[in-house]
Amino acid sequence: MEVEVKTLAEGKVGLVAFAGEIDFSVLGDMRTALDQALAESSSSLLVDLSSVTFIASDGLGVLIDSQRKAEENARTFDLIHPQPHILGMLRKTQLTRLFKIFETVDDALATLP
Amino acid sequence: MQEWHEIIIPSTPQGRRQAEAEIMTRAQELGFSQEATFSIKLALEEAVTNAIKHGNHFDKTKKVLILYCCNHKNFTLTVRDEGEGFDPEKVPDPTAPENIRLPYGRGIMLMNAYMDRIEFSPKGNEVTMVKENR
Repeated sequence: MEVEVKTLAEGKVGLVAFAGEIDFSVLGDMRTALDQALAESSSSLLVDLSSVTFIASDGLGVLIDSQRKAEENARTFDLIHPQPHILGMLRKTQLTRLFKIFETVDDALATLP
Repeated sequence: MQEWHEIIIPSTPQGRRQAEAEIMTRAQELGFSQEATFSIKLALEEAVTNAIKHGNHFDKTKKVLILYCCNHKNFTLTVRDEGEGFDPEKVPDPTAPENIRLPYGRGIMLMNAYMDRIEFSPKGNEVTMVKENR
């Protein structure tokens, strides 16, 4: 797994872009990146999944946990463009009820107040 | 008579990766579709993670046994741990409103959703799953 963390919109938005495979062995790195983005942003956390080729249930669990932390810190938490088979997993687990999913980062940014 | 292949791994993430690489290579050689290969990979990941975490409790002295048997039509996987076993019927539905925000408990549901057949041993420390190549 590769990960890039940056801030957008003058620090309002934390963007975490993951790439590759998110399995059991990278959960610590995943959590660290999400926590960092949460700490560096003031209103919103975006997680770009467009380059993620595999994610297991523990990875989904880290996303759920990160969303909870974001909400506790008065931030929104949204996903960006999961690949079709990852989107399929989100649908089968009904996590599409929990996460808002945008096609692009720009689409997500356009919804910010 | 099809041949069963055996892989024994330690209860560590590194061991799992080696087994996964062997099984994925075999599925691709047999011409399994991208969708079927993804399903096998996901089910294997979930089953082995459960075996390491909940079965063997990360005990490095305990092993996970992976058996697989395959042809161009079917890929059968068995994963067994050295734990006490469990009753899969008692695992809560992760899609229920009271569970949807829990960050765990989706592994068995995903194995069921992505494989064509799945069966636990009576003790519950072994799962066998089949994926058809369609």
